[in-house]
Amino acid sequence: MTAGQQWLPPALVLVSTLAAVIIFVAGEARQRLRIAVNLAAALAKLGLVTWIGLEVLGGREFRFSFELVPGLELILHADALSILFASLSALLWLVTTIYAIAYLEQSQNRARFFGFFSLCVSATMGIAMAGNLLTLFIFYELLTLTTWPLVVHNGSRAALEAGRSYLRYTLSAGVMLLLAMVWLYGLAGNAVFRSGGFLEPLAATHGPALTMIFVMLVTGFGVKAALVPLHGWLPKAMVAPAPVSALLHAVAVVKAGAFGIIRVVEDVYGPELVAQLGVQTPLVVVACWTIVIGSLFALRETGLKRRLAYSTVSQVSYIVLGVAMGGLLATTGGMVHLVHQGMMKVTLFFCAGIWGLLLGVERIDQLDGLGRRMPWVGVAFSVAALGMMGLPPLAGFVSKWYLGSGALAAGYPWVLLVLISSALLNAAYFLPLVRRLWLAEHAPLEDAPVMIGRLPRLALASAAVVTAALTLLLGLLATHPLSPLNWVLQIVRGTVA
Amino acid sequence: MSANILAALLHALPVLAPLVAALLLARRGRSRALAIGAAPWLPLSLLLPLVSGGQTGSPVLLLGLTLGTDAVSAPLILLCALAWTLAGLYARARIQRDRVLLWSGWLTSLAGISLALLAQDVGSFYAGYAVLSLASWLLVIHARSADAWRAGRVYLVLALAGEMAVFAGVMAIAVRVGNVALVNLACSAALDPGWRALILAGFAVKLGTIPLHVWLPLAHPVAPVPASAILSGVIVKAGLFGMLRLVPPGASGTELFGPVLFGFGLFSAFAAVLLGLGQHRPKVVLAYSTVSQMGLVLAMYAALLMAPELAPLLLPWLGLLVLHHGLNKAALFLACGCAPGRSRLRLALVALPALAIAGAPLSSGMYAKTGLKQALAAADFGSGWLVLLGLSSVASALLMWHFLCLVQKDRHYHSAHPAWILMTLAGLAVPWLWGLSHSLDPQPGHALWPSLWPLLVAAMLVWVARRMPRFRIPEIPAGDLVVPLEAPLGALVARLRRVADSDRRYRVKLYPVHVRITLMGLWLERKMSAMPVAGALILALGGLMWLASRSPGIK
Repeated sequence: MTAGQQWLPPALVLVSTLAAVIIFVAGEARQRLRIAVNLAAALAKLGLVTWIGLEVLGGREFRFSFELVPGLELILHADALSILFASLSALLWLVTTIYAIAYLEQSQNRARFFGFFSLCVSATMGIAMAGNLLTLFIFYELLTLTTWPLVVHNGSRAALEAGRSYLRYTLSAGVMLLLAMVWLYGLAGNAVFRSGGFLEPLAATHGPALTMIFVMLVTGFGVKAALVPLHGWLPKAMVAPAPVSALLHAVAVVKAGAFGIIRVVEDVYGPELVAQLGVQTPLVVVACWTIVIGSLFALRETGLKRRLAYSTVSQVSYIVLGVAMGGLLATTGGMVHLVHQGMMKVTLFFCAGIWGLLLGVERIDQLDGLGRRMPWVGVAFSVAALGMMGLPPLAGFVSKWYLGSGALAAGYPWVLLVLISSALLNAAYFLPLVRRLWLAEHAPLEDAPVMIGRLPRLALASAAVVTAALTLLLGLLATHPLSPLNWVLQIVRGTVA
Repeated sequence: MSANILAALLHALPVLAPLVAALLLARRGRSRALAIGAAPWLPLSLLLPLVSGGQTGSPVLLLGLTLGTDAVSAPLILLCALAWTLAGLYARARIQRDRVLLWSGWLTSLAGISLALLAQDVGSFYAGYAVLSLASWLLVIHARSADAWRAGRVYLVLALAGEMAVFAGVMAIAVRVGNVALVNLACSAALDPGWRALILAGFAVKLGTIPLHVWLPLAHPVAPVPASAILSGVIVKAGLFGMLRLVPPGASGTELFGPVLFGFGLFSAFAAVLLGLGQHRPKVVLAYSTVSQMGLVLAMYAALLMAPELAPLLLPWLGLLVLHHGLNKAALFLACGCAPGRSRLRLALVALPALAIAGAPLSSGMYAKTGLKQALAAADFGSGWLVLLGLSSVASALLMWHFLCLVQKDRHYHSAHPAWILMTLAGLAVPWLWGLSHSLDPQPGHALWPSLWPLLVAAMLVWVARRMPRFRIPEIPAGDLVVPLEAPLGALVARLRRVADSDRRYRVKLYPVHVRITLMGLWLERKMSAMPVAGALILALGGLMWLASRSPGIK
């Protein structure tokens, strides 16, 4: 392990920071430079993640530490779980960058947008690579600060209100995380992530304290992960431009919350301690509650993006549910849903964004006949929607299989009922959309369609089609050695390399 | 190596070819014409793996895909290949409206049922079944009229509920043995009866057992004629197939279900006839006839569960019953589109499958009922079943007579498509060929009288009914049980929707904080008094989940 390679994790984080700096300095006018820098950074990031991933597969360890204050270290490391999240982020980042470049072609303040966009990537990479709770917290708060300008990008009243609400929720969550973290550091010292948790020795003496810390940590991460009743910011944040919604829901913010909960349950506390402290079943109940309530609220929404927002609330809790239930099958189901749900959700938001931009489609009843009008986008949306319902052979089916059998294996048979109800509710609010796309007659448009150039149109549609194709491949080739499912199985069994 | 590739190709072709054709439909012009031109012939590719035998698979596809044929799937593969092809030829000639919708549903259902039939592991079987269920919806709603949408809604709700029940059972299997090969299910560890019951209930929706049958009489009149033919002829049999696959005769603990299923089966057989006699549209009468005949099929399956040692001997008989009903029912449906009342010849051609279903002497129905009797004798259900079987034949005969009376009034100008004639001939000949090739003894001496007397009794009943001028069977709305349930369910859904109109909820308010808190309080109060239903539901749900998690034995 050469010394040079220890710089890979921070390099991964800093690539986008460098890109952001260049974009800010270059200013609004230098469009070509901005596009070049964006794409180069995204490709470089993908390359770096692949490199690190292959090294991790080969058994190498990466660890970069930096002492902030004596006793408090910033640690960036790359283990199998970090690579899972980082590779998902890097890949979807590339696709979202291409989409965003085309989407914002005629928009203002693009330098500001892409600058913060890139900073947001850095923060996400930092969260993925975080090696202890402090680092995770720092990058978590950085994520909040870098996504706020994206949420309020439009500058309208609704956007500012959404941004205010977002800050209220996430900064409060940050305070709670800070308190929990300080307490934990007081009890256990440097909280370095270790597979299986490191708090076992303290369980006998500090049981109630550990329980309280767990609740606070989950609440803090749960705000971003949109657990009910901490989810209020998410539907409001739908006023942001479509690339931001895609980002927020599929890649960065919501997944970061879920990732934080995974780290807490797996690498801070460990599944056995979680069960021992008695917080396992309440977490499972909260996750199930969120799943059902999110789906019920989604049924009621008539705005397309808001319906997708509540769908996210429901689906991200699958991840929390899987990790909370514990056991090989359930944890696999939860973690693999991180990847699968990201892919499907980003497709849905891409399509919603295309229709919103080009045809002014905001509500569900404006979807009539759009499938015939824009067939590729319609097919991408349909594939992703059917995947969310869990139709084989799409990605959602694989997650559902593992979560369902995991629920029975972990001794929670009633969770299977929740999963089935959720699948039926998913069908209830996605099938009407697919039906409207293909089987309803054209509704006359309220405004004239927006004209954009051919290349941007191609870029927008390709982004949606690529992620839809990946959704199909993730489900069809689930048992392939290179699939995310296999990677997750190795993570859970602890047998990477 | 090349033999492996050839085997893989032969097995994959029936599943992939329809999907490729469905994709080709998208582009107007030559590729669409090619897809529609080739579509009717694609089901014949199912015969290739049947003839070549062997197994193929890929550990990297789905959850570990294995494809192959065996004794359980052979009759259904044969039925699917024949009926689907002939119905497809009819559809290509006759259906000119909304062709992309029809053929996309047609081809995707074909791909789904091919995967389900050829699958040798649980995951792939479920995948094919799920795709089949969803794709059939496209066939049901083809007409896109108000009735079609309603039928589609009822079908979808029931099909999804059934599929979820099956999924729950599949999860119980998966947690025990993973994605197990279907042949090993019979000898693997016993499943709790509760899970088995869920699986059986889920497949019973597809099979059309009363009271889960309500989608059938709604779907058949609105679907196009060839689609109804394959719905009743092939797709409902997928329910039986699922039962045979996931609750195989011989698996420990399945004998419990024998008597229950037998009861349900016989009840369906009789009740469906009563409901069918109250209909005035020929396709709905045929739908109820399917429900009734599937009740008999369920009874035979129940007999197989009770006598698992004889299952290898009785399976070909079950195959015969399925082939006989599938081909003849499909022929009857195709007849509905060929104006049978126009000439005596056509009427005679329609009467042949009808007589077969009624179990007339020397028909395939008589042959099939011989097998049914053997199975019931082996299962030892007690002594009354022989009479019950005879009475069910009387009932079928009455229903078929009712159908013939209704259908001979159809004198529109329609040419008789050759597919109809071929299907009728297939229904006459193929079951006999199947039976004889499997050395199934038709016992002509013993079978003739038991097949004749029900027809005589039926004829007598009809004559008596004609003599009584006041005698009228009340008209029953198609879909029987759905009708009283639809109104309150619809009202409930409408109530929830009205309560939750989200358009007016979010308005940006930029008032000072104390004003906003007051407004929020007022808003909360208003909302809480306006959401009694949703609120109660949410509370109840939370309470239920809390209770469930507190119950002993669950972590």
